[in-house]
Amino acid sequence: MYKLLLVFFMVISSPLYSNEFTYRCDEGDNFTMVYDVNLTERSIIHIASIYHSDKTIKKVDKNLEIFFWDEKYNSVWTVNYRDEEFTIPTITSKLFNFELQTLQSQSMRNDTTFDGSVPKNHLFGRNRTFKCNTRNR
Amino acid sequence: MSKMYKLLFVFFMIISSPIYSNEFTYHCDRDDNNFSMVFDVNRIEQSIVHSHSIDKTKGEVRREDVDLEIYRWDEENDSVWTLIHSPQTPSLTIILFNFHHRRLLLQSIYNTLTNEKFKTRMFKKRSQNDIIVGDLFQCYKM
Repeated sequence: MYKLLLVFFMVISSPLYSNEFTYRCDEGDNFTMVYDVNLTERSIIHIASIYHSDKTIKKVDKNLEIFFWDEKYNSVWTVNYRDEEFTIPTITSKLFNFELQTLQSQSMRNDTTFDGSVPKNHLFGRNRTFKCNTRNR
Repeated sequence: MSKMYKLLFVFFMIISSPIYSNEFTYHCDRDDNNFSMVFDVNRIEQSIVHSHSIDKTKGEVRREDVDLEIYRWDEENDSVWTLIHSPQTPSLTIILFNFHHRRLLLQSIYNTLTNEKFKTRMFKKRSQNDIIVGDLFQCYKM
């Protein structure tokens, strides 16, 4: 009976069944992003970015804007719009696929110069693929 | 007096031109010229309806009639950002309308890796590189 109870608690405390977990995503060996995910509140917070070549950790603490929480495919789409001084307006969208432990990221920029001089390859950002893992909090 | 009428005529010509019009059709051709999209834009209501798609390789015109979800109407830069989530694919498509430069940028992320059955049905020809797709369109107002 105790053994069964132990197995039950082991299962419900595993990352697959937890509603709050840390999602760590690596882009090769150079760059890592860390997120806190809350399935109940449907929130994702970008906690930190890690630059391995410089051995630096940048604290971010940014609550991501959820565009669509896809329960059917255990995935989440987020969007982030930035329009800061001395840069051109940019939108970044991310796809978190918790089932496959991946993260896709892309960005698109608006050419706000008077003569439309931003080259096409600068309008579309680099497509980025991250391999992720889940850890219980 | 006739000078006054001429001036009035010129004034009406200007305000009825596409630059000053609040309702216009925005026709966009993809850079490879094989595909076009047509939109109805209303600046006052801040709405954009995707009315038609034209596939020139097949010689087909498809009626769409899709009211786009406006993410941001950027009056300062005469631009609009819209988002489309397609549950059938499933994908997220961002369309950026830049009316000033008569351009349209389109970028999609496909959730192709969701399940094997789905992947073979919808994406058997897609490679890993096709998960994210970006296209530039040249547009004109009508």
